[in-house]
Amino acid sequence: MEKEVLKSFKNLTPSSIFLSKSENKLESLIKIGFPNRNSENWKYTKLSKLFKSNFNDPKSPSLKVYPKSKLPSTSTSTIVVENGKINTHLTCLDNIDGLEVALFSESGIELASKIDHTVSNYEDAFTYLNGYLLNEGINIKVKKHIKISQPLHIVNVVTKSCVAVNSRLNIELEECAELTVLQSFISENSSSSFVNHVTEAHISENANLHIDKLQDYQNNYNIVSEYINQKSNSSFTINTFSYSGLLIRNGLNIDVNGQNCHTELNGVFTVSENDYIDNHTLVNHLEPNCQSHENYKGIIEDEGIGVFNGKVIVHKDAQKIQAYQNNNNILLSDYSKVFAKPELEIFADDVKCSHGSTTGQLDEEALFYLQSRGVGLGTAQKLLLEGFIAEIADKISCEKFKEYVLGKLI
Amino acid sequence: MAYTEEDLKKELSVKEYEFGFTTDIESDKAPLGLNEDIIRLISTKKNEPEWMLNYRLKAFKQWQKMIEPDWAHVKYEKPDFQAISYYAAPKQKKELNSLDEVDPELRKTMDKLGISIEEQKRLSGVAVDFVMDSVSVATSFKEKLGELGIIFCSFSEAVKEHPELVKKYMGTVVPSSDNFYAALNAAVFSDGSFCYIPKGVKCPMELSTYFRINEAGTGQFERTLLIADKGSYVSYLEGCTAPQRDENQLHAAVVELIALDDAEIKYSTVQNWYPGDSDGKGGVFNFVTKRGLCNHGAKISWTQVETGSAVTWKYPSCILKGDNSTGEFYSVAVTNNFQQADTGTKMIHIGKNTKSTIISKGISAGNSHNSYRGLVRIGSGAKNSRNFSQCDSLLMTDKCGAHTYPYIECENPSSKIEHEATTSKIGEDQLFYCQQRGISEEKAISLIVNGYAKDVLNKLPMEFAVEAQKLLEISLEGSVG
Repeated sequence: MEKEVLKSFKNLTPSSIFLSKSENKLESLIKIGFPNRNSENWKYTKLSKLFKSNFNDPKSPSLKVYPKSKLPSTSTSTIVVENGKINTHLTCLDNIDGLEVALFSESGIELASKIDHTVSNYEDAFTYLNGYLLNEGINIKVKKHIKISQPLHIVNVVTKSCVAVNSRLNIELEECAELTVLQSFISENSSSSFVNHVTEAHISENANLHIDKLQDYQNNYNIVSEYINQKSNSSFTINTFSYSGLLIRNGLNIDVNGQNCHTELNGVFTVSENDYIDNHTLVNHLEPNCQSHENYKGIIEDEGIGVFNGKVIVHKDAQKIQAYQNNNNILLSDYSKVFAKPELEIFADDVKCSHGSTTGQLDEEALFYLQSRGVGLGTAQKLLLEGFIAEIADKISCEKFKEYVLGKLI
Repeated sequence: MAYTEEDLKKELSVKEYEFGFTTDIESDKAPLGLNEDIIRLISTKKNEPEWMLNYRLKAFKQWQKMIEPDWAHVKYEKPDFQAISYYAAPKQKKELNSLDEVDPELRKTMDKLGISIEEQKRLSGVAVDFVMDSVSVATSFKEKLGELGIIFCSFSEAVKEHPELVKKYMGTVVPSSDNFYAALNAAVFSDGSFCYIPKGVKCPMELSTYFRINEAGTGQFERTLLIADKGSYVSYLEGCTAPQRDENQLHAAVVELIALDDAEIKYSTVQNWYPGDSDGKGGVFNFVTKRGLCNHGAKISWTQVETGSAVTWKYPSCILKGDNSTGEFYSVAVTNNFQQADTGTKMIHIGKNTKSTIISKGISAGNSHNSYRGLVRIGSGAKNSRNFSQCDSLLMTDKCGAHTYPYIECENPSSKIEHEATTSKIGEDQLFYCQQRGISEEKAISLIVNGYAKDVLNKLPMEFAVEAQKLLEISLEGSVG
């Protein structure tokens, strides 16, 4: 049984971080097994290729191999995780009061008791796998009343082929703290590798967390699972920009555990060649008087497949919730496909929830208008697509990062 | 005097007469449980040809390999398929002498619906005076339909009279292996309706009218096959607004519609089966497979008003196979008390320039759960196709639930899909406005709900639209506290 489940990962060494915990993860993983197309949440996800691969350990980080010039520059504090381990040469962290950054491997066992609180509310095979094989994790803590103005950039880069990287990010915001995190998932000279990343965040009362995330993984697989816990009056925003990847899957799970919270999930996914990009979101409204907004836009060309599956659950007694979900997709080629599944599960009556989803193509009249004014077809298309995603790109907090993301997307 | 053979014959014939009725009943009720012998028995009882029996047996074999699905957002105790008798002659209902003996609650509802006294008698099983013209009306209808070449009869009759049509079309839209309940139905179906509209014929009346008058206990495993030949039109209504007290807990029906080139089928359903009492005990499980196939330029339109049943689990669907074909789905589903409904539609676009529209209005009250689950799939060959879906839910209490699970799949770049859904409760300001103008709370709610469901009610045949409005009112009675 164990062998069958871990077939693709048999060459990998179990994590030495939090050893006692990783054993449990293996047990849980074997118990539930990996999902397949019969699992409702994975019905559109083609995992067969991933499971046919045979991944190796990334071993020690190849220091200095990766030139700094290839990194997305944001001129802010940057942590570079290369093949799962910290690249100390490229990492530059300013000393900021009230911000604590620690590595899992260097932290004592006391950290182990602080993590997994939100993760343990969910059963997910890839998250268990991440715990079992964890290469390295970063723990970020912002102390009470500290507002970090400068964004913190975390780069996850893969530079080897056929390796499996299991990384983790843990964010803890104390009361009234504020933080912006930029996340870049990129690859260089690598193919058929698998990055399995887990982010867990705890946002205390009145705190404010903002994440901008770019995924450009070319011919690699990437599964990112996010587990967020929000307390009263807190605010959480995540903007996901998925550019390329053989298989990208984002699983966002948000527990809104306090009143007057604001939750915002935005995303743009551009799928080309035979890439597959999948965005799953789940907003759990457990408390009344909250708002959540969701807006995802997909541009699918070539033989790409895009998936959007958004779910909002309004639990019993969580009255006065306002939840909005929007998803627009543009298909550009005869072989492109999109699957959308915006779901609502409502158990309280005094709510305002809505969702909308559209799938179509560029407006021919708009294209014609631009062409009649002397704009070439290619430029006209580009202009319209830029307009299509501008609404979301504008939400990126760091100007340099925005330029970088837009440069990729269009 | 010697006891002759003549005497014996005489005695036997008398005996048969004496006990005939009783023996009939006994032999007409199959023992509990389901196996091949039972299916053979059903088939023999119905004098079915060999091919029909083989069809049933094949379906049964497939059914045995299937597992009862549980993905729907409903919770119920799964029926024990070995504790059901799969064949019984139509039950002789105890005839009541006058309407006074009818359950007063039932009568109250019928009065509110505005059902005529004569019809009330028929529906509640009161002995009716057969001079009443229902029979003659039915006969004259049948004659009129016959003149046009329209075949409208029971399924068993069709198997005997028109085997070529049944053989050609049965199972083409809902194959016996389609799903658990469809397979069960294919194996044990009791009876149902068969309808064939010949080429170019526009059926002059709502087939409902006839159906309502002639409806007899068709049993729990009903099967309907409706074929509209090229260029024809038919409007068909199933069920009725009057409350149906049914002893069968499980209903697993199959409805197949086939619209050949340029034909149009309008299929309306009003379902008001026993929903269980206010504590959620009892009630009918309604697990129906309904699907229509549209050929070139054809149109199928499903309209449903669902207010009954403890558990409803159905998805009237359209396969838009031919180019330029159209599928429509209009639904109002009301759940109250402990009712659960998981209903919606599937629009499968295969042909070019196909269009579909989905309007679904869910209303949940009491402790009920109401889910919309729908699929829109536009295949890679369905160029220039179009879909519009709107699914709204209205919540009446803080204990009920309203859920939306749309599946939207698009595989070509020249098609457009739009989907929107909202969930909210009745606006307090709207209620206040009505009440302030002297309209009672209950009336105000029904006014608002009817306005909310108007898009769908408008699609019902005239005479039913009025009853359906009242039905909504009754279903929601006392739901807001």
